[in-house]
Amino acid sequence: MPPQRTDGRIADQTFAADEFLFRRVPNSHIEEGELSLLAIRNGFKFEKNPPDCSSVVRSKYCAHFSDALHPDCAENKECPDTTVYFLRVGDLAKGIKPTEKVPKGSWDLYPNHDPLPRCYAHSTICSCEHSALNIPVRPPTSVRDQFRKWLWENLRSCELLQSSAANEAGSGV
Amino acid sequence: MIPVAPPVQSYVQNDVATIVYRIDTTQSDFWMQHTDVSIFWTRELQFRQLTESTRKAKAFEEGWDGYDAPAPNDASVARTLEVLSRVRDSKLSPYSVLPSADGGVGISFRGNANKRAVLELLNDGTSSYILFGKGYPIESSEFNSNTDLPRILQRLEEYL
Repeated sequence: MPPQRTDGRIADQTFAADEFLFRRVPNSHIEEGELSLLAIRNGFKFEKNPPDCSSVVRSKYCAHFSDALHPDCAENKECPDTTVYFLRVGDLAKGIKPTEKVPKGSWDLYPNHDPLPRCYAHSTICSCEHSALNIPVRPPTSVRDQFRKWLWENLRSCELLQSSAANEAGSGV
Repeated sequence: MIPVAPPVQSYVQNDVATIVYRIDTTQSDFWMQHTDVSIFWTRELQFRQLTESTRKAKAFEEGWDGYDAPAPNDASVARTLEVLSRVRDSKLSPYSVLPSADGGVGISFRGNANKRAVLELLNDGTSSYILFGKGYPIESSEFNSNTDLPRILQRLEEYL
């Protein structure tokens, strides 16, 4: 089944804490089961314009995480040799402080729903100052580094979702 | 001193994995008597493989990450080959060479207790190192690959 189309719907900026965000990862950058940091762009494209931030697909409007691999959600490209990884919205990094003396403050990651005509689930992950929720900004260098490491530590293969679902189904028998 | 070369038949294979297999299985007596030689040639083979991975990085096309990652350009590949040859003279053993999502090539290292390090040689001519690991704070900085590399490699040796 193809991903949900937008069909005139507006963006839904309500994200539940237990919602998943799916992101494609090339198999070339999964080494002995570990994601290579090199697969994650430094700064993860934290832009002031939310649609220009890094793309993900939100689970609320997905039939399955493999929607992230469908050409409608992948810029019309086929995605061979690709694994889907996930983040949980409630786990997104918050309150990351720069190591530089200036600027002061702290930065958060937050999800932004950015539907595409043929992929209603399309979203982006943006960065904002903790004191100015959901106003996207490009964070200072050391915060971008920390976000990159955070993504490296927290992106998980969707195979884990499959196996835990299988376990739950098995325990219910 | 250049170590004694292993038996000739070890070199006639083209595939690195095959060479390692032949060393381990058909010439174990030779290697057991020449442990220092074995270490030397194992490292040689490892760097040959990394060099090959660097050259293959050019085959990654724009968007290889499933999004819009740039392909490594010739300059970043050439700089990676230069850095690799310097790493070969250090005590460091790289784990892999892969394209970087920022556009360029990265050399990855794995150390003790889940410590990791990456050297990135980017398409725009910048170079950076990153030290990180689960439970460790991140340390990173840009460096000049022509002048700062000895200091950076020493830092990686200390960290890993």
